[in-house]
Amino acid sequence: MVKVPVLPGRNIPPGPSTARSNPPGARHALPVAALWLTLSLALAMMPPALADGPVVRATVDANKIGQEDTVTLQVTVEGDTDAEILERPSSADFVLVAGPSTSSQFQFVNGRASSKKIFTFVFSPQKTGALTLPAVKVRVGGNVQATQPVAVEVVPGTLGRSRAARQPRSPFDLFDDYEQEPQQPADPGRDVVVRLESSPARVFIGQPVTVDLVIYYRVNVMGLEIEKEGKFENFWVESADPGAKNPPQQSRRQLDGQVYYAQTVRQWVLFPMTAGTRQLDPWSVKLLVQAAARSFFSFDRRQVVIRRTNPVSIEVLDFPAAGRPAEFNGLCGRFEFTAAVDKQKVPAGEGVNLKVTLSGEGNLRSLSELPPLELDRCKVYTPKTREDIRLAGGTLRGSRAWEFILVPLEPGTLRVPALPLAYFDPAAGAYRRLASPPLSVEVAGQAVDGAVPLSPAGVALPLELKGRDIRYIATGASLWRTRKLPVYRQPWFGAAFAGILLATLAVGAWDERRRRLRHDAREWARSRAAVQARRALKGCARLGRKGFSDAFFQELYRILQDYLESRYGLNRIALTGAGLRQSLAGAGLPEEPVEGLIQLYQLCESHRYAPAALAQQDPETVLATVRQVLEQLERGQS
Amino acid sequence: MKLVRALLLCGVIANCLGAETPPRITAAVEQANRHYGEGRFMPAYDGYRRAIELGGYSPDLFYNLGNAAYRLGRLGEAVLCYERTLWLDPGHGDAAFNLEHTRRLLTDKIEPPAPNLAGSAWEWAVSRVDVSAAGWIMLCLFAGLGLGLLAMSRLRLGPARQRAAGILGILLALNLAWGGLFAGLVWRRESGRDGVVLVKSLNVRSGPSEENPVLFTVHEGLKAGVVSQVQGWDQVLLPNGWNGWVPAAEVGLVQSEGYPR
Repeated sequence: MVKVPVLPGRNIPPGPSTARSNPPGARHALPVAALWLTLSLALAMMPPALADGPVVRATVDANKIGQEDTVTLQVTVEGDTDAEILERPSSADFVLVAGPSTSSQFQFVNGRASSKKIFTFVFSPQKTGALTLPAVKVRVGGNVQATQPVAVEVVPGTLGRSRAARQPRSPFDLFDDYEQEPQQPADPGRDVVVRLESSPARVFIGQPVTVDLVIYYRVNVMGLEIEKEGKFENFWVESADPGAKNPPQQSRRQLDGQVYYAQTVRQWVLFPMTAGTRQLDPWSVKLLVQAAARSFFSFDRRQVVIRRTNPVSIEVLDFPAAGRPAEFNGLCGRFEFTAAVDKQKVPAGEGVNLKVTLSGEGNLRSLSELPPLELDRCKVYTPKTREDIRLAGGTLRGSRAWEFILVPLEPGTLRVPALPLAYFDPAAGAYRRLASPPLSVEVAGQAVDGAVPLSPAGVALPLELKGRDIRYIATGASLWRTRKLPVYRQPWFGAAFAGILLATLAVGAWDERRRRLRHDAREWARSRAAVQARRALKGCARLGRKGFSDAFFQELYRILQDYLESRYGLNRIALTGAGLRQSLAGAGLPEEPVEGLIQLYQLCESHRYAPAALAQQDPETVLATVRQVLEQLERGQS
Repeated sequence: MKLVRALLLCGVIANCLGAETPPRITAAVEQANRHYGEGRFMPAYDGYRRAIELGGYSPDLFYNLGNAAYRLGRLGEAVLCYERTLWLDPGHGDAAFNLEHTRRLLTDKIEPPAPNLAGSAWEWAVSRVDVSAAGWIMLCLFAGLGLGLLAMSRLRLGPARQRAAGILGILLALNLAWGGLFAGLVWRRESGRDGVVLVKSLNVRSGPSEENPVLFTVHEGLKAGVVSQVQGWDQVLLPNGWNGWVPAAEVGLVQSEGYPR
């Protein structure tokens, strides 16, 4: 282990002192001297550990490491097992990949007790050169102390500081090794390696390059995480998910003369877009490994390590200038080019589907558009593109199809010329020319005007949105309405609800009263007596229009009898002058209408015996008197 | 029945009386429409504004004013007019379309919290019913309920009365359901208070004065709830929960009798 000088530490400013100086005076000199002597003796007898106070030390397991290695920093606090780390140390030079893990130790030597607490950090370097491990702040007792930054030289690659290579310091230091064993096991070194592997190393523009991210390991790898992704600049990247289908199997491979297990975790197919020597960005991978036990009595331990991929360069060649066809537009691979129509004979104005297909392997997606198709006296619509491209065998395979709709405008033979296409064959290092077969379609019927919108039968033409805009203004009478209160804020609205409610209640109450009266025949007849009498008087008035008659007086007599019987419960047979007066007076009626009623009774009876005496009177006057008497009776009764 | 007829007649008469329009408004709107059709949007905008000042107040008038404002690049006013149109006529499809189109051009894009199922159903319902039409339907349903009660009280016990009771139950349920919807519509119309930013950029401050620090900046066309007003300042609440104070003169109110406030 490499010892690092101890930093004195930064003390937290002390609080207000509670000690008071003794006032000077000769009479206090003796007790003060005695106290000083006692304290000096007590301090001299105290164990050194307590007398010296806590000590903080920082050590690293190596001052020189490889960029792919990790360095372990141990902070040891002697004399205080309650010490704690204030904050995670951070630095631009290193990334903390594990820790802090802690352990406490107690020792009894010659009757003196000592204790220490160890904090262990594992850092991964971010670059090469003379780097510095960050200081670690520790709270010890009431103080805060910080370790001194530690210089570590980082060289490219790895120094292979495998724990297995470490040797005991002497035949007798087995326990010393155990005593010094850090809580975090040493880096497994070359037991875990992460590599980017590409093939081939020299390609043409557009030629696929397979790149695999492979882990080589000789210890148990329990998990991994991509710490930093590298960018594949100047490449068109097609990513393959190795876990989706047919995941790569673990295999045994040799690397630098050593045998490893190898596992591919990511795969890409890169298509270079420009010529030149291209470096692939390194990837950083964080791995959780299980380190072997150091002795029979200890257990295997898990550890996080960070590995960076090896530098990879790919030489990208430009397409040769010699023999480059005019129609060549960067297509690289091996392809076939076909074309077909769905009908051989159509009437003019009807659509024909022309399907042009490019199939094969290579950078199929780099060909976005076909050369424009222009046919004489034929309307050609923008093609729809369909593609079925998959990543297989380290390249793209499949097809792209362009479906044109052709609408011939004139009868005759519609000729679709051969469409030219050129691509570069990297295997042969030469250009290839292709051409779709020429096609012809017989067009029948009458010529149609291409200026008018065509709606070819049986062909669904795609709608194209040319642009977006707001809708036009409104016109019409609805525009010039003035401000109007909503219906619920108009006063009649609430009144209407109240009116409906009141009307319903009133009608309901009236109905209820009628229903109740109908259940009592006597009361019903009594309540209806005046109404019935008035109605009957209307019929009587019709009889009176012809002057006095027997029928008039008989009817009038009957009306009065009915009224008295219904209204007052009088027996119509017993209704004579004296008895009538007595009965009505007993009912509590006013005298005047009672007298009027008796006179009317007498009038009717006298008609039986002396009809001539009534000749001078008018029937209307008699009926008016009857109505007046009835009214007075009703009013008096109420 | 006579009562219902009388009520309907009153309503029709009230509508007819309300539809009377001063000829100056008609002339101003027609002239503005002509200007708009000829691509002269500034005179068209002025014409619509003049019609509003003369008392014109209809969903279509605000819709047209919104179109003119849009053509002039006044996106804030356009949003305000379309929102006003939809407040007056929730089923105005053209205003809804133009509002969505205009919102795509705005700087601030704040996604409101997604409403739950009940909230979505409620919004769907209230966006399709005019509050006045709902009021008329409520009145008719209420009258129908009264008539149903009277009819039922006159029927004697028997199958006819049972049928009437069923119909009355349906009427009652309809009254309750529609009453709830109508009350919700009225509440939404009366309680909602939204503002639209009319200026290109507007600082939102922590209090109702220029001395208060700026919390954030909003831009033209943003719609926000106006939760309180203090001496020429509006407190606005954004859909994402942020709130602050802005000068009232730079914010138009959607639910208002005037224009822009």
